[in-house]
Amino acid sequence: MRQLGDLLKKVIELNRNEIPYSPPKRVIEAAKKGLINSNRYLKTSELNELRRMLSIYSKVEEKSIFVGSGAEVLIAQALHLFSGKGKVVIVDPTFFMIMHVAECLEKLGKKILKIKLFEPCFSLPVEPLIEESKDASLVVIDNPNNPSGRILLDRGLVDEICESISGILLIDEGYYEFSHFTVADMVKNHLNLAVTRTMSKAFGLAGLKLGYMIAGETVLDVFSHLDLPLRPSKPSVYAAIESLKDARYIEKNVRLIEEERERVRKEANKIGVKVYPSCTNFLLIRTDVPYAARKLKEQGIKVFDLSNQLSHEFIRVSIGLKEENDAFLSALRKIIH
Amino acid sequence: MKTIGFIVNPIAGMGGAVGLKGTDGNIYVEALKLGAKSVAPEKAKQFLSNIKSEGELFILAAPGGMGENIVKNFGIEYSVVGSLGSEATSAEDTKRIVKEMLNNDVDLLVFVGGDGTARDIYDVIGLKKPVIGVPSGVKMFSSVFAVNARAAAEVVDAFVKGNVDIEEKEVLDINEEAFRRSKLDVKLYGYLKVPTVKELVQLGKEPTRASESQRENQRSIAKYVVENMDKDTLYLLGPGTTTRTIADELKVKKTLLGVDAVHDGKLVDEDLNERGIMKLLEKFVKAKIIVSPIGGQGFIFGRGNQEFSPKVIRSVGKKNVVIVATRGKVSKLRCLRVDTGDVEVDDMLKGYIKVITNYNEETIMKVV
Repeated sequence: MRQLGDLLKKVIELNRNEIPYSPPKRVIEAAKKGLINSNRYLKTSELNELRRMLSIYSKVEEKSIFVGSGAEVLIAQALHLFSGKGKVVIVDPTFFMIMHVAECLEKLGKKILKIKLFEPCFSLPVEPLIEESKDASLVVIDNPNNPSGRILLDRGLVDEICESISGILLIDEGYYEFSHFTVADMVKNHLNLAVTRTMSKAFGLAGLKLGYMIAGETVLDVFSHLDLPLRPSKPSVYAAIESLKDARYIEKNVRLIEEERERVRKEANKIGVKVYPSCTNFLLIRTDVPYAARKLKEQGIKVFDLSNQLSHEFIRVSIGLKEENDAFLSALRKIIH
Repeated sequence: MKTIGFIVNPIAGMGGAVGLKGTDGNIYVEALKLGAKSVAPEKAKQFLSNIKSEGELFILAAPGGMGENIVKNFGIEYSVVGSLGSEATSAEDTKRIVKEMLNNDVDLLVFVGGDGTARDIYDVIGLKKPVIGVPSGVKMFSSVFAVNARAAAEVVDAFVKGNVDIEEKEVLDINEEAFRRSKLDVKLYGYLKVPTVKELVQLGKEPTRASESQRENQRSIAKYVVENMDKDTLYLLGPGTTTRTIADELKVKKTLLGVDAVHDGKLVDEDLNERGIMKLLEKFVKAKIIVSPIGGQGFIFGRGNQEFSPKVIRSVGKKNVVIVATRGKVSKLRCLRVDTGDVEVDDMLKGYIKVITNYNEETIMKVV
């Protein structure tokens, strides 16, 4: 085991936008309790308890919440369920999983329209988005956007799309706790709006895969049939309930990450790379060094390689512990100079 | 062990600092008079000093100042091929030596130079062997160059390890005379096979599109375009490898560097100039243009496809312009550009436009 530990220590992983802090002890104990009882399926009452807590946390009605085994699963399901006869509209670049599933749908005969975010700031071309949404079956936008780290949609735009679209608008708010911006409450007025959130980021529960969707009736009617197959595991639900009982640790996680993020941003700027502003737990960086991700990996730092989505001098780095971030910065200095 | 051909155009780039915008033909004599310094040997040194796989490659160097004099200081195994002409180095030297390198079975050719050097090499090598350029010219509009000398060394290291993808990339012909008068007259000259370092294969939950080759992507685009072609419509296929794949799908011949016309799946005319196109437009009521962005800057009109003149574009109309581009190309472009020479036509084309990027897939981009 020690050997494995040494092996794992060698590489610093800043490529998956995880939180570097372990969950509180009480949350781990709750997960253990779920594990001890894992000869039994999750009870509906247990799932309802989590929905109740999530409704308090999200300030939306309980009936608007659908819980699943990871936000990714919910997004992928929505893409399959709502792609319908019209086209699916996404932005480019976007959360790679949205891109990946959308591209797979092409092979099933679905039409995909990508709207390229406009550099240098990765801003959203609003006019074509509204126009193309009209006859779309589904529009999927990550807000904040991954990898650019910026907010793309405001409330006015969400209103406008929901009112003109014939299908569904799905917004992924995976980084809501860092962006402090949400449109989840708007599901009250828009039956065709869905917002996905995750407990993998700010809650620090990535390994438990727990996501939820806050949605209007049109969306939930379809999803309700999937309640059983998409249910999360018992340890995940127990841990999630416990974490929501006292969410102050999440605020602390967010504060620490935000401080580190701004420190890394300033330091990286000094090195002479272009760092984009971010309201997430990661930074988009343009290095002008070809194959930057590969070179950082040679230095023992794994970052997300954006060769496919942008070009090979772009990387996305997650904010880790101070010493991990320092190791990243010194590796970055090395590959640049 | 891979054999790498190495050729330096020692006068490439000399016209830059002295404001001559190039050294095509005999201009370098004038550049010398103006006190121009040789820049290519320095770039060549930077390239060689960044090579990490020196134990796994063998260099076939051009003689004297075109390679040998530089390579000999780097402790890399090498031998010399070819001979120099009596005068200063010329395009003829480059062509003759590259031919000899081909006869000596090089696996990859590395050249240090600019667009002119790329053209000379293309004349001899065509698509026979892969080529990578170390940028050292004044004009480097072609897509065959690495970002810089260090990046070129990385490509060579990856090539030696078999860790590259090979793509056909454009060699552009820039009229140097016009360039000196601040006019950009760019023609598509041909294609070279260029290695690029394979994308990092991401582990775990990160899927990539690395497995999908540019060729597959082009074939999917072609299939989609052909399936959606309208009847009774004239299609004008612009130059490029993606448009060539559309012709392949239609099973018609394509002029790689020119414009061909297709109607109801049959070739109507080939290698058309502006006049030829206008004549066809009089005959056919409905017409569409299919183009692909050329070069790294994203030009859809005005670079390498001047056959589509402002008159032609105006006659066909913006809504009948079909743009095709691979996902790889689109991801690296910030926007699309136009430079038809007619401000009104440029303005008409500006704004958002759809690009076909795969079967069943379109991407909206901005034309600026």
